[in-house]
Amino acid sequence: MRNRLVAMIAGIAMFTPPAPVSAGPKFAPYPERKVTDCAVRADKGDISVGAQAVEDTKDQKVYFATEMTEKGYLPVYVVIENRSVADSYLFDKSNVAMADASAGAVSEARSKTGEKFAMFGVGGIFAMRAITSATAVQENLLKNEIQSKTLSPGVSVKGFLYIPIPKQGARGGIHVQIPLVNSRTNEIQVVNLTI
Amino acid sequence: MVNSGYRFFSFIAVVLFAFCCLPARLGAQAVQPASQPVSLNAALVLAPEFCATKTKKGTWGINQETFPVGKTACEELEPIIKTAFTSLRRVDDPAKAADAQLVLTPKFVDVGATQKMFAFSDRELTVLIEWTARDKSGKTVWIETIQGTAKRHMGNAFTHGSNVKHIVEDAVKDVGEQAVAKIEASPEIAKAGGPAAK
Repeated sequence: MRNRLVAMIAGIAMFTPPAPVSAGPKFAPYPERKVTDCAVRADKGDISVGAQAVEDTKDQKVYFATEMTEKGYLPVYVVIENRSVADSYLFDKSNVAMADASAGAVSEARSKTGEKFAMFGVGGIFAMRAITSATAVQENLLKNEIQSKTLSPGVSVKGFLYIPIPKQGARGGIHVQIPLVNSRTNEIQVVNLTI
Repeated sequence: MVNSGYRFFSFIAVVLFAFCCLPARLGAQAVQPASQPVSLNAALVLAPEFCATKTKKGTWGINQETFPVGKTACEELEPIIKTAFTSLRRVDDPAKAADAQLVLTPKFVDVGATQKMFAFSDRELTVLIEWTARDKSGKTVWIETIQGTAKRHMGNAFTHGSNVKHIVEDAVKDVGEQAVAKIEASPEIAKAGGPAAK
């Protein structure tokens, strides 16, 4: 009898992880877009930027397995293209800034290269933990987020920004400011979008 | 009779393997570009705070896990990144790399980990490291975020700790190997050493 009980406990320990977890959700991959396919576009010098907000909560469920708007975040797909044939640009995600479209420029900040450029109030981009406690959903948000990258001639970077918005009521316009640094001259190109 | 049948099937299995699998493997090896280290005297900054990074995932008291990504990265990255340069020195502070032509600094962006219900189900770990390369003058010449992933069994009460250790090792090695490929392919890093560089 005792042996059976020990065998049963050992069997349970063998097949279960040390802590209980639920089955993981499914995510559809967001279709890749070029700048020309995006609803919002802006150009500055060699740089072209496109943005497409995923406003529909049904789409948010499909791509992120969670309704992000009701948690106070708007996923915005961003694609940045370097159209130069000779120059490279540094995209540093930590320098991306955003603000309510009615607020205007409120502060200044420094880029990684030490150059100053005008910046709007910074919103919280790293929103995964605020959006959900489900580890699979967090990991999917992380994998889809736009990340810092060197844009060599002809290279692009794409991914999502998770922009804080009011949980209730209609949202206003959002300014997004994307600075890129020319790696040869250190000159900064700042691209502004209103979403 | 039993022996001859066994031999026959063994022979068929070996022939099938030779015809089906070996050419594919050799072909895959043939298309891989030959990598060449960048002709630079580089320094890799592995700061104490980077090496001490630990990430917790899950809910405290229910399913929280700790991933010692910093400790693993500081053990695994140096020998991998060394292959990307003709010379690489490890330092714990950028100030100690004044003589280097290129200073390479990794920074953890975040870590994502899925969790599974059963001990033998595969779970995934994603480690994102942002690499910044500065030239001798301190100017940033290259930034790249690399996503390393690894899959391994969730593990049971006895194997969970060992599985966590190995999945972190695999994900960090994946980051390192991808970083080497990106470094070797980067025109910005090649230019950092001046005209004499690769």
